[in-house]
Amino acid sequence: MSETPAIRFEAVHKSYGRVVAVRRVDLSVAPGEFVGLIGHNGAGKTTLLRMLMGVLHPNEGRVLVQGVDVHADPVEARRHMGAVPEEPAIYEYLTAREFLEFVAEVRGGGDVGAALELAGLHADADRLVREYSQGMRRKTALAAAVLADPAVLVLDEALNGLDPPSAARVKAHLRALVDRGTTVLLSTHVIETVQAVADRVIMLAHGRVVADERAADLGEEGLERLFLDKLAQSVQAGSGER
Amino acid sequence: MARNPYLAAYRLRRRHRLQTVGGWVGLAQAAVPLLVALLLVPFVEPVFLGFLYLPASDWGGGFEAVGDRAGLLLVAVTALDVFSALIRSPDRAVLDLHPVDPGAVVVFEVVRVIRERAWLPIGLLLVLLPVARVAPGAWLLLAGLVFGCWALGLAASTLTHLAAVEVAESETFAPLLDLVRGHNPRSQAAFIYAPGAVLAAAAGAVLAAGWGLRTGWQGQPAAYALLVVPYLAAAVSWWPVRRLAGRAWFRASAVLADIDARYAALEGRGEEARRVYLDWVVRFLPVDLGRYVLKDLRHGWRGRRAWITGPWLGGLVGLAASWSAAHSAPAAAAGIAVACVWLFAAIGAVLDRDDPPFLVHWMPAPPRARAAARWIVLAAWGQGAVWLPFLGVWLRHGIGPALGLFGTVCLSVAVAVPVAWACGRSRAWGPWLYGPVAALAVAATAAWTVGGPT
Repeated sequence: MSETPAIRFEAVHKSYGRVVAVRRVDLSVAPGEFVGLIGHNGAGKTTLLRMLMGVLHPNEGRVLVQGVDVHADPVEARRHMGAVPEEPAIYEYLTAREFLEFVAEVRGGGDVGAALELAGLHADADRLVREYSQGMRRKTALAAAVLADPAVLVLDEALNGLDPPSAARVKAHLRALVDRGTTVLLSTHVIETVQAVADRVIMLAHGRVVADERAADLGEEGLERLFLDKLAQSVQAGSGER
Repeated sequence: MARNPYLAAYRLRRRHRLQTVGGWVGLAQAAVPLLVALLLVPFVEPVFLGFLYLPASDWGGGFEAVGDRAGLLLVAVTALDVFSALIRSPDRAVLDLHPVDPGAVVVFEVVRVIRERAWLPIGLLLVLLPVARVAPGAWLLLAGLVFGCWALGLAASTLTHLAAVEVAESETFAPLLDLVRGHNPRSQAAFIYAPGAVLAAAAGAVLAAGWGLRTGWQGQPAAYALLVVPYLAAAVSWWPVRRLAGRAWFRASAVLADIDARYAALEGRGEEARRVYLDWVVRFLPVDLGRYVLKDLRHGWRGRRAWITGPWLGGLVGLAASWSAAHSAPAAAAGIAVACVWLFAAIGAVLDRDDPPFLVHWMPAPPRARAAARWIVLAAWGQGAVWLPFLGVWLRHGIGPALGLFGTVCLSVAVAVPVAWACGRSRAWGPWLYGPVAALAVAATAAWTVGGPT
């Protein structure tokens, strides 16, 4: 019996008028996989992840999380998924602890203390979020995403703006979660981050998947070379299409 | 009753906010509208409550007119409030990543509107205090009508805006939306017309209650029972809300994202090269002034184009009012035009808030050029409010009354624009300062054109 993919994009297509953001993407992520999603600016990473988070609907195709259609059953799909969008929104007039307690109540449980520990926010947990730096806000959003121990984590540039010790701690935690069976899809511009943590690398260019490789198969500089080669090919193909 | 976590978090946020900004700010924000309502009383009385100078037996029609206007105003304002709270809510970005209960979220947002807009029905009843002075019973009945219409506005708006999400995505309604959407994205049309649909749907109940008030006053007390109609209509409207919220609340995020992305795509593809409304004005201005005029024209048009085209809509209403053969028509048209001028000039108070703080800090515009630019831009945007009523009064009542209207409206522009600019200097308090001043100015002008203050 084949295992249900943790994440499945079925011929997903998204356009805004004449601007095509994502072109018929077919993609599956198995449970317990750590996938790094890379691509140039405007490649369609954020659009793809926003469709996965359910805040954007594809023009064609379906997005499934743990077999649940994100569009058809938004509540159930979100129960399986924790997410950090590119620009996370947090209640400004709550403390981080109060915000996480609120998220725990909405999600039906979660260890607020452990989430604060992971985010390195214990000392500042009782300050209002409006007093936080961008990095601290991102840590709060990360803590909210992992709080209820969801089966799938979707992180859009979630490590940007974190100080090195926090980034290292979060990467180690994500790795530990994956080892316990959690699926992580992390979008980033930073190739070193993907090299350090991901099992599999998917590259998008101009809305298409142009590479899907095992991270272990790529050498030390292989990922960067792959990125530049595929980007150049994609640009040539794109100009050919035009 | 089960605890509503969204409401609990809202209460906590309010408490923290008041602790941060100071309790007196919260008190001032609650008290200012009520104070303004009390200040409006001497101006409103001659315009809307003149019937109180007639024998008491003739007051029925006046109560009906006041009840209808107050009720429809409440429904209209509430329709916009509920849209902001339910569809364009800042809470949406926080909540829609989590498996929230959409029904409970909708209840929380409606309670938020009730708490933050409670001053609206109370303020209306304060404005109607002259009725309480001579007929306390009638004032209480009006209070019943006002709160009924508010409840109806809340419930009907919630239902309609959630239904608008379904309509926006519906293939069945697509041909109709394409017919009426103009240059807007199709799904946007469903939201644009939703407040009108609320008003149309609620009007019957509001008018029935107003008729009941008049007929009851005229000697048929059983007709007062019609005051219950808005409450019943509110209950009926609320009935399917939770079920509809389950389908529509999450989908609204995606519909809004599509609308916003379409605008962004449109503006990203050569909008810079295209011209914005009235940018030809810049050709006739010196370069040092023209650059700030162009900045305001572009900034305002791209951020607030619905508001900026509003004066033409208000001008059309003024034109319609002027077309009556009644002796009072020019005064009514002038009143509408003046209200319209003050309403659109409020853009001046909010444009400064839209400016990025770093730009204000590092590249401040010379104050004189900035003020002159703002004056020119607001005066240019307000043309619709001036010329359409002017034309109507000229054609129907002659050049004399038309020039009177023209002078009154130009005077309003001359006062409203600097007031808006001055209020806009305070990014935090601008709208709070401008709103009461505008309300008083409109009421004073209306009292002056229709009849002097008592």
